[in-house]
Amino acid sequence: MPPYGVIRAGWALHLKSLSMSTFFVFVYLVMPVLLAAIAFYLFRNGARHVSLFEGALGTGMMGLWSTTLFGAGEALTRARREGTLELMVLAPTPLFYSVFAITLASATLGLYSIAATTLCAYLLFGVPIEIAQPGWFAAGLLVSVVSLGLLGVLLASFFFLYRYANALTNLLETPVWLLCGLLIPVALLPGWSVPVSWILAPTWGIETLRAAASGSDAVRPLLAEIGVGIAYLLLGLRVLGWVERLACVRASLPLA
Amino acid sequence: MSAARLAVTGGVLSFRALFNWMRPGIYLPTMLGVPLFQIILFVYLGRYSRLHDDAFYIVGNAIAVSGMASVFGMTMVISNERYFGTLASVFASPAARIPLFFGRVIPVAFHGLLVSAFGFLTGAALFGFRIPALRLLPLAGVVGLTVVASAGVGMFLGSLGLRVRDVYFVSNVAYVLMLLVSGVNVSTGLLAPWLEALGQALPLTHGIAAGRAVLSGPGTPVLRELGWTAGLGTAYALAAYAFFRLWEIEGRRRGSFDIY
Repeated sequence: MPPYGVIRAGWALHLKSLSMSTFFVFVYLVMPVLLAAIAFYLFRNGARHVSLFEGALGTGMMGLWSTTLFGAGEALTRARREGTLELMVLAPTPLFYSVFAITLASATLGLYSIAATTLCAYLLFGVPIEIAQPGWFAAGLLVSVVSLGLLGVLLASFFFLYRYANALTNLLETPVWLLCGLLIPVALLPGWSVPVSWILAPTWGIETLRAAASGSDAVRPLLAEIGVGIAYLLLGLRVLGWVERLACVRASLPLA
Repeated sequence: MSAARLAVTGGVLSFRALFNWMRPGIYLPTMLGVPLFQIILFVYLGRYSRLHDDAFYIVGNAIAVSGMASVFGMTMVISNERYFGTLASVFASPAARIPLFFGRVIPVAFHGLLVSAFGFLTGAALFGFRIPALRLLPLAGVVGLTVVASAGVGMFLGSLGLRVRDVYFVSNVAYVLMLLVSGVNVSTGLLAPWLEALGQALPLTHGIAAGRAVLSGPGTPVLRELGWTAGLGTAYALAAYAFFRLWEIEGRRRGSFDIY
């Protein structure tokens, strides 16, 4: 099967599987909507004027990051637990394609988050949904999903080496929400956080979506997001290969 | 075995065995890292929205994280009996049910206090939050009562976990819902009436209100809020115990203790 076919088949399989997981339903649907409601109440009643639609996009992107993070945390550890990891490694198809299919599927679930928070804003808070450049908005969503899927491969490789990956995923969720400026401008955070935010795909993803919605320049953040996505791809290929070799040399592939 | 010994020893053993966060590699990121970043997130969100001052979010979230420890802790130490396949042994034992069930609150409550103290320390270290010395002890008392009362909610969810298939979905939803309706980050008066009513039915809402009242000085309704906290916590705990006994009777009759 060609690489494209492996990714497509794996993506479809894992998308169905993860969609049915109650934990992922919580992560991609319930949590973003509840966090969006908190943000809406704060923004609507606070002294500063903040667009609720931007809040909806921000909390939706928070869901996209969370699904990617938890999907990456589960990608290899779940295969190891279920005894399919050796088969994935031994198959003639490079491991990267199989892992990318999983992380891409988990990132795709994040689209539900954006849809859910936007609908919540519209239906419960009467926020008008106005997107000035729908084409760039759609491109922003697509590139965000692919970039985060590639970041997921990189994360999955690191989580593979750490026995308590699930605990680490809990820890990483909120800092990235903060560092990417999904609800709060990065400028409000300490100065060191600005350059850190540049290497995180959600930073550029949310900037693209906001720019496309408001009608400002969406090309620059979109290109930046493509750039970091390519960097994740190159790093992911290298790190995953290194982890795979290390696990084979140590004969620790099936060991949790 | 005396009831007190059963309550204390059984509680500690169940906490160590069934609460999955005892290894430092799991405990530190989950029980200290998550509260730390939760407080940072909401303090910055508050500063950005300019709705309340830092103290509002620090007090709300530092008390709420103790609720997290209580709700998740109690849910796990009860419903994991079924998940780990030990529920039938518990129900087969001749041990008195009341100390067996309520003894599990003791370590969970101490743990919740520890997590809350860490939350207040985070506020002090990162945002310069200060508690007047005279109000430290009353605040500790409020947090202690809130932790125990929230454990009642956790017991209730845990006892549901002896029956429903996926109680962790319910406890996750319950915790994030508490962040919305319990006045942790948004004053309850600003919520839609049905959300406000939901919040008033949770001990955490009244515990947080009492905590803020203690810090804002005399003349505020601390005792009334504490009364609600204690009353609601007791109601949840009694309902939990009633379900626990009901599932025991039903499980014996149908032979379905560990069946999902």
